[in-house]
Amino acid sequence: MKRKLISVMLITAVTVVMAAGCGKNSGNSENSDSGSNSGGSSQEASGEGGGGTFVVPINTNSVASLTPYNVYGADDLLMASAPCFDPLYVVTKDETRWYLAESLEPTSDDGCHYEMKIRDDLTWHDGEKITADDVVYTVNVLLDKANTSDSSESVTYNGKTISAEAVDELTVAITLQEPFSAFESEFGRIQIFPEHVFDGNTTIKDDIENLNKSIGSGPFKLKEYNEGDSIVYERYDDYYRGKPSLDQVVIKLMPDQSAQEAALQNGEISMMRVTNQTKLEKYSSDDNYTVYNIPEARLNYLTFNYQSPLMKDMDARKAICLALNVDDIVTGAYGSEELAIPAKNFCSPQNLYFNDEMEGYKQDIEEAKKLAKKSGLTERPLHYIYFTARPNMKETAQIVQEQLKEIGVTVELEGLDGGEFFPHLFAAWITGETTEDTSWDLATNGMDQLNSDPATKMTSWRGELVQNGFYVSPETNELWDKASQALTEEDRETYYKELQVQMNEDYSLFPMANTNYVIVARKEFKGLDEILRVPIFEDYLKITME
Amino acid sequence: MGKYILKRFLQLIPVVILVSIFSFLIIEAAPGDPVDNYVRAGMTKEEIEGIKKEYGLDGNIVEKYGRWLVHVFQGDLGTSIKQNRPVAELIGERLPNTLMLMGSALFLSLIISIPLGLWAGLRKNKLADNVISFISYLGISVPPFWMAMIMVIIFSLKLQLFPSGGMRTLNVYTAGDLIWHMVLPAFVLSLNNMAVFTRYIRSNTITQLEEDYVLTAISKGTGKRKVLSRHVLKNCLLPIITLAGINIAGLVCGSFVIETIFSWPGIGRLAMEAVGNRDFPLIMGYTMFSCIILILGNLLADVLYAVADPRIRQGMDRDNG
Repeated sequence: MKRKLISVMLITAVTVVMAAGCGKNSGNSENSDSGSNSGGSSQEASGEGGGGTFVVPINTNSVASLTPYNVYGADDLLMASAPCFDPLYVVTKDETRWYLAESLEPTSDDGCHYEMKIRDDLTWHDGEKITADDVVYTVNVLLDKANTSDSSESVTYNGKTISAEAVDELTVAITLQEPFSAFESEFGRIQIFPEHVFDGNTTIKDDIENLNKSIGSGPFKLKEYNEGDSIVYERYDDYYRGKPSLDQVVIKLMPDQSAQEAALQNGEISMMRVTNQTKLEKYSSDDNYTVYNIPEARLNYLTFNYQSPLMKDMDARKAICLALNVDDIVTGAYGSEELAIPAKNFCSPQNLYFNDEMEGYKQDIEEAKKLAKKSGLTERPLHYIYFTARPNMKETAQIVQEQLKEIGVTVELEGLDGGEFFPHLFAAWITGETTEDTSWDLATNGMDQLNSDPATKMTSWRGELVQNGFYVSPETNELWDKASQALTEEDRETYYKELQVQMNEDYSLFPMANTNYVIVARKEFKGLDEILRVPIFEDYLKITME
Repeated sequence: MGKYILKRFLQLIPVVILVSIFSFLIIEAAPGDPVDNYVRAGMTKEEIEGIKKEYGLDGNIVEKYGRWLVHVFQGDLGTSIKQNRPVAELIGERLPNTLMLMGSALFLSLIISIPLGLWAGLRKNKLADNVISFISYLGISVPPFWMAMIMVIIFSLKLQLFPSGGMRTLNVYTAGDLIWHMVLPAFVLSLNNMAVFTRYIRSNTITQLEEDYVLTAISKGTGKRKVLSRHVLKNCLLPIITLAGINIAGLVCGSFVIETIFSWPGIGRLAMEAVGNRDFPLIMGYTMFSCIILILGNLLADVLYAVADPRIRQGMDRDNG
């Protein structure tokens, strides 16, 4: 009996090993047919214009919805939906790149009325024509509070919602309640949804089936979604800007960095992000990879909790700003200018109206010592919090701790996960009311500014609620209003540049680093250097495989 | 036997309830409010309260727990706050992947540890025993995440024999491909159990070989191989059934790490993200689920032990009237 049992076990084991071998073979053979597999190194160019499969890892274990109705500020979800859903257009400092839309014109002098025209040759992935009704429908979905979507912020400016109305099949009239300088940037980035798929219902949060059909407008259409593993997109042949070169784009759900690195080296993914100097040097010197460096339009900053009694004192904030050496922070925490450059003010150089004449804070230890003593900074330890999952934050915190020691200020560091960190940092903004929170004094965080108007994501720095967390002087608030509601380019430029100076004079934050999005890609992929937008990638037509 | 199983099932209920209470208390004590996932700038207090109500996050802890428990008894584990999908559905989608990995790991640990343990026991204090013991100690003491990385470096990056992660090759839908992807994670997950089982079987083999019945059989001229396969093996393997049941806990915990490192889309990874997001319905669902797997694993081990050993079965029947 036992002998039989052992025999059965041995046969099973042998079968497993043989099957494993078969699996490997079958995987390779199918890959060479389709030009796609989990191993990029064995990918063969095929099909029209090169073919191949481009595999992009994202740092999350799950994607709640394949239709991007709730992706505002979520880089991973934006990356997951980008191959399938095109934006209307993209405004950057240097140009406007048109996608689904072909024009946006003001129709009045008050800055509150616009007309946008979309292209006439657009189709959804199910073949239905894309019309102005779809744009209006999408705006209404984003405005529908029942969807509890962060993306409502792309159609709400200064707390005031916009409205949209179809003028004809291809024209949409948009009305703002008040002028807002970031409207053009924000509105263009919206990825629209098909009205017919959701039968015109704007509350789509619970319509999981249709959300995950992912009927989009981009160069790739959904082929399959493997829960918790990958989203596979295949080329959409009727794409309005021509056929993509790649056969497939795969979004791989892979939050573990070491897993990403092993997968890249094994050819199972095509690229990954690099955030430290050691890895940058390693891949830069390896001929199998190409390193791309994209200015991220992000500001990493040190902020002060305005509810902390000590931080209300401008002398205390000034002492800290003068004690810190931003060059040493960037060199120590990031490693080189390829990964980040010292920041000068709250804008990044990729922002519209960036004030490039400003030099940032200059270290002055003696003055900082005097101010620290005067303001009482030296009398108790400061509590400094940072978000552990964000790259370079821990290293930054440690350097700040060392530099403040030089002026006699003791700093206690505490790394927190997102669920704990953000409710501290944005307490008033999140809860909509003043929240007593004196548990921290200093914090470092990062802010994505999307290459465009300073007000795009800076609205959280103004208004009464913000004053409960960060310091915003009356002068700053006034300049925010003037700049964001200015009607001419000249006025906007003047006010935004003044605002940058004013915020530095307020010592309302310490600008630390403007980071670069550095990616390492397997050398067979080309065209990644043309992707001048973060989060990557805006235009998959430019990516090819050789 | 039937009564025993029923009795054990009834004992499950208070254990599961106690685990749920402790889990609920721990989640409640954790910093961060799950409702922050849904609150947007400009929402009124009424709207925020509405969201809390929708997800069962309103009221004090007793009310929240009571509501959750009532829903669970109605077969509803709640809706994931982050993913806006029923928890049972999310767990159900990924459960087969985790069970497949855990089952393979258990299978691997058994088929490797049994011959190794017996061999080591037979060759007590000889070279084979020392080598196997050394490897076993290594298996027990080396952390799985480290071993996982070493395995990836050697077998995936250097030798290119296995993929570094994932569950299948793109566009390939064969069982062979699935097994090929499972080899490394299942092996690493099985290592600890393999080492423990090997040590246990070795020790049992040595004990059994010194028993009178073995000496009698050998003195009567029965061949050593026959004694080993007919008598010693059976007695050595019986306790492994219990040990395997107990060690399911290790597999559940190990799947957290192994699924993350090998990008295996199972419930361990799902739970990791749920913890980060303060997605309390999903955390509770996962905790309850793991708790039930552990308890059922132990129950199954007890029942199998009773089936395999008549002495235990008789004892159970006596105790249960």
